[in-house]
Amino acid sequence: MSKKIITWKKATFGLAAILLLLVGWAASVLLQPNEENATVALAFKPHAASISLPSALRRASATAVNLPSRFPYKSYLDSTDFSDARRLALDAQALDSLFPASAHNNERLLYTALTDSLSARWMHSAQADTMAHLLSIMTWASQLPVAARFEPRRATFFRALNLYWVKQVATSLEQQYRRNPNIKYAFQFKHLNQLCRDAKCGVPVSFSASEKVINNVVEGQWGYLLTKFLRDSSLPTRLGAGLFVALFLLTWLAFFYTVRQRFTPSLLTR
Amino acid sequence: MKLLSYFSLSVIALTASSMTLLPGDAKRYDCAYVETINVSYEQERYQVISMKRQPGNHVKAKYFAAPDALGGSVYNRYMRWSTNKNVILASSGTYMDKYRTPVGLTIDNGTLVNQNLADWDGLVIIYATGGIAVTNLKNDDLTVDDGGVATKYRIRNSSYDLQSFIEWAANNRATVFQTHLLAYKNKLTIFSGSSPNTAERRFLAVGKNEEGELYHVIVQCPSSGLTLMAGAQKALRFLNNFQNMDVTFMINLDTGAQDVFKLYNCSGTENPMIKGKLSLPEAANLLAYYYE
Repeated sequence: MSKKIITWKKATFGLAAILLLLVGWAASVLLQPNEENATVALAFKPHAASISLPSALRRASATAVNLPSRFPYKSYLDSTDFSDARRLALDAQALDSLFPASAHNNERLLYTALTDSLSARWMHSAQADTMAHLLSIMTWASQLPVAARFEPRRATFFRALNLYWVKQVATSLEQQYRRNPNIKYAFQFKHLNQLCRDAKCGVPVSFSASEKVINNVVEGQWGYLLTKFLRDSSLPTRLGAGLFVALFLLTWLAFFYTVRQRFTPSLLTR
Repeated sequence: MKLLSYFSLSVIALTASSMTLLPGDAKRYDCAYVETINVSYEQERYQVISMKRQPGNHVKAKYFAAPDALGGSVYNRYMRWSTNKNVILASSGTYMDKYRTPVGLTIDNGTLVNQNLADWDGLVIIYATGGIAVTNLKNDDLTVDDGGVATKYRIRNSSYDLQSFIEWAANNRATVFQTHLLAYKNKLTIFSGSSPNTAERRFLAVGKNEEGELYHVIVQCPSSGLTLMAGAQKALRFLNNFQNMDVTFMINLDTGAQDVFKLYNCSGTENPMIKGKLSLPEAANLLAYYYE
């Protein structure tokens, strides 16, 4: 008789080791670094002393014609408190008082400063794609439609600003999704996409057929799954599924039968 | 005997009332305005519905994408609207996402549904008169009539212009949706590099025949082995050569997750020539043609 190489002890130890490795792997996948705790320094608060826009424009010898080229974009962005939408309305008002004949152009100019110029800072930094950064932008942008309600004369300006920044966030989410389609399962991505959807600017994400099945199982959509299966599956698929269910039930029956045979005391031993 | 006659009478009355009272089922239109054909051309089968707009512009289009004020579905809105209408057909419009929201810029009768511009070049505008116009967003020359002034919006390059256009649409109760523009001014606008997925294809083309009559045409290529580009190429060739049609534009209608299509004969009965795999309530947006 050959000597037993694999003992129960060794087998149990081996299985435990494999299980431990699996748990470790699963934990490393599931426990992603918590980005919410990361320090994100957003430039919403001014880092320079507040400037008077009319004086800055006078110093730059700005006229209604050369305003787009003379506008002090850098110092304006450095010194403006973006967290306060009223500040933006006051700046637009200041521009109008200086150049009353070109009110529409003034608004467009301020819009350019708060989109293209600001985007160069906010969307091209090292942290531009981080979810916390995008969430801060969304939080800031969400006050703009409210400002539009209080300033009906500048409603288009505020709504256009909101649209621009929501689209920036949506574009960033879309790019991240294209790079890594699995990001659609990340909570922060789903949350931000929901905010974009609320702003009617959601990022369309797609799911493979098997992912859709898993999603519906997770959401407990059993009725929908059954209806979909009965409606869309071909005859061979239905037969295959029927066979699978029959085999599944048979296996359980066989298991229960074996357990019953093994553990039910026989009449002889009673 | 008396009981039997009462029973028969009540059955007849019930059947008659259900036939007339069901919303959307009392449809009747002038057969001269709509023609359906099922033909083979260059080894491909085509099912075609040609709707003549003139004379009188009796054939009209209507689009549904927004739920009603009480949160009722798009389908419910369509059903309520169609109660007194002579519907010719109802079809899915543009694609929808996982959340059943139409993809791309979508505005329904001034109500904003989605303001996220998609990459597709076709922006479809449906007028209250029932006419349809398509602008090629690649040309960046969306021009609309704003109180008698032709106003140009560069919606792809400026959020300010996009917002202004959305406000114009709200003020004018305009209806807009975005989809793949497959052909524009008789030229194919979809090129290699588009989706390799194969499926049955359904298109809406608008153009003029040899006599200069304006037609809205639904073309279905029932073969399931066509990519979007191959389907568009074949359909354009078919419309140009077989139908002798000068195609102003051709857009795609969704045959994927919301493969919805219902066609009626002029007598009001359902025509099974083109039929979606799914029922109308599955659609997140519906494009209907009716006779008025």
